[in-house]
Amino acid sequence: MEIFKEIIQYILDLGSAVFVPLLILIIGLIARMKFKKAFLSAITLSVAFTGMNMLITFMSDAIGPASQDMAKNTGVSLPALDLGWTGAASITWSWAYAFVFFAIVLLVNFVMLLLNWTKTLNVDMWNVWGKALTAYLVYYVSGSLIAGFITAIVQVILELKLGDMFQRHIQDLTGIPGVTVTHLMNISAVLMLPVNKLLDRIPFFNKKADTTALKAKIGIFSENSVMGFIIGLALGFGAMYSISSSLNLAVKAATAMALFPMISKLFMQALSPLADAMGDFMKAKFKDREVYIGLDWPILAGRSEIWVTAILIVPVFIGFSLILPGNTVLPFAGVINYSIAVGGLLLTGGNLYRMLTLGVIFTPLYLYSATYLAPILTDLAHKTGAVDVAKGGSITWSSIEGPEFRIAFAEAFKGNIIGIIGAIVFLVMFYWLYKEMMKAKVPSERYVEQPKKAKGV
Amino acid sequence: MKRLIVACGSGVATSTTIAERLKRKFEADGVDCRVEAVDYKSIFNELPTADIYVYIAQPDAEVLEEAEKREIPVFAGIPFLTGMGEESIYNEIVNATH
Repeated sequence: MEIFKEIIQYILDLGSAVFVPLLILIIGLIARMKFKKAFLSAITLSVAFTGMNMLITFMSDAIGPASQDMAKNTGVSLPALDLGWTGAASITWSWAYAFVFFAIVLLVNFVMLLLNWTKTLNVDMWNVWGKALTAYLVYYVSGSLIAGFITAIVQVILELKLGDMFQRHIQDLTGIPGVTVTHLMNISAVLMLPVNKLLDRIPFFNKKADTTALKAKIGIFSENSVMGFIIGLALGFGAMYSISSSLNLAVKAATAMALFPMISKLFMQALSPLADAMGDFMKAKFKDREVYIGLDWPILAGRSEIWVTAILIVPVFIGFSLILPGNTVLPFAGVINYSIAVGGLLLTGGNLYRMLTLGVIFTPLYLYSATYLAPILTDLAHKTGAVDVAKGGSITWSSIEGPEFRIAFAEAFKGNIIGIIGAIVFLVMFYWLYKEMMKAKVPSERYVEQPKKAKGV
Repeated sequence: MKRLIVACGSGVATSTTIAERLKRKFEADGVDCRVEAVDYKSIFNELPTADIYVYIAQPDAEVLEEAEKREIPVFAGIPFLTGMGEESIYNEIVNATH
């Protein structure tokens, strides 16, 4: 028994860049992949982990000192480094239990479909990491691994119901029949619902804006490198650096932002044979039934309202981070808040004025949640060795998805009475949202169109 | 060799899923074509060096115009995620690689 324990400890101590790829190699071979292919997947995953670690070190070396200097000069202390979802995902994949959630996602969906409790078949196997992150967060806060798994299961169920309730709306917005989005980010609509109900009563918010032209004008800001450059430059000025140092910081920040998705892509490449096989398995099992295919959110990315909202909320996000008491996060790699933009799009049916209003109101929630997440994500990074966080430093994800759900459940399982009430209220409100969206008019029929301006004016 | 690009909102998850799936299918069928996942936000930088464009969300009108100007055939990528109509669109893409 003792020797067995030692072997396992030895394997875990190899570090995530060795251990997790080893796991993928073994799973691949069990799934009868050719050795050559499985080995390539495993190596790609090692490269992804190592590359991400390099990039994060590069980023903290560039941004860390500047934010310290800003704290000295202005008194605004934002020490938690924002890695965005790509960073959060890579750290989560390094958790030893992360791969168990593939099975949980498949199994829960299977049962829900068999019992006719959902019409959605989720084939988005990439966002399995989101369930693992929830489980780790709840486990860390409550001390119970089982509580973590239970919350992850609840999350899978809620995601399927989100898929059910938004399907008609997504079909209307994208023109693609039979698909829906099963991403947790859309759960932001739950707390936004009461505010959106209030906005129903104000005539201004019942008009629809033409956003296509606006997107063409400000679209360049959604380029990762441009966004990184601007934030880096602003940070340099905040730290009272010289123009030359500020420009150098801006370029480094742009580099980090541009490279994040490139490295993240390697994770996807490594995991895709596995994810694809599981998706195919589920599709084959239910091919004779009418189901909505649950996908990741980018099927909605053609809606210009998403980008206009996401970009316009950025200065609000950064502004709040500077003035909110108790916040420790300067939004950087996670500065594009998709939860607000995509959840807002589906809830309001693409009404830009409402999306922006909701965005401003709910931005503080994300900053405080990211502050809450910082010690948890830092701890996971330390434990797995996925990322070398400098001593005393901390990392987080500024636009964490579904923070209200994750934190309420974590606190509830910890025994915090406010958490328990919060979790119950949240589920009741989720049910309310479900009822509302099932009967709501589809986006194209919901508002009065504003008369379109003639071309060229 | 021709270059096929798959573009999604971040150039990470969805586009890579489809790109990897296409790569595997091409390999199995002996189709000689480079496949890459790219960021839709940088699409105007990608189109000049692309020969085939697979999209996830409906592209903007000016993106489609640009593709047409460059005679780049454009295909929907969603069937590779849902499995519905996958074979027919795959065959069209294979034809475009010749």
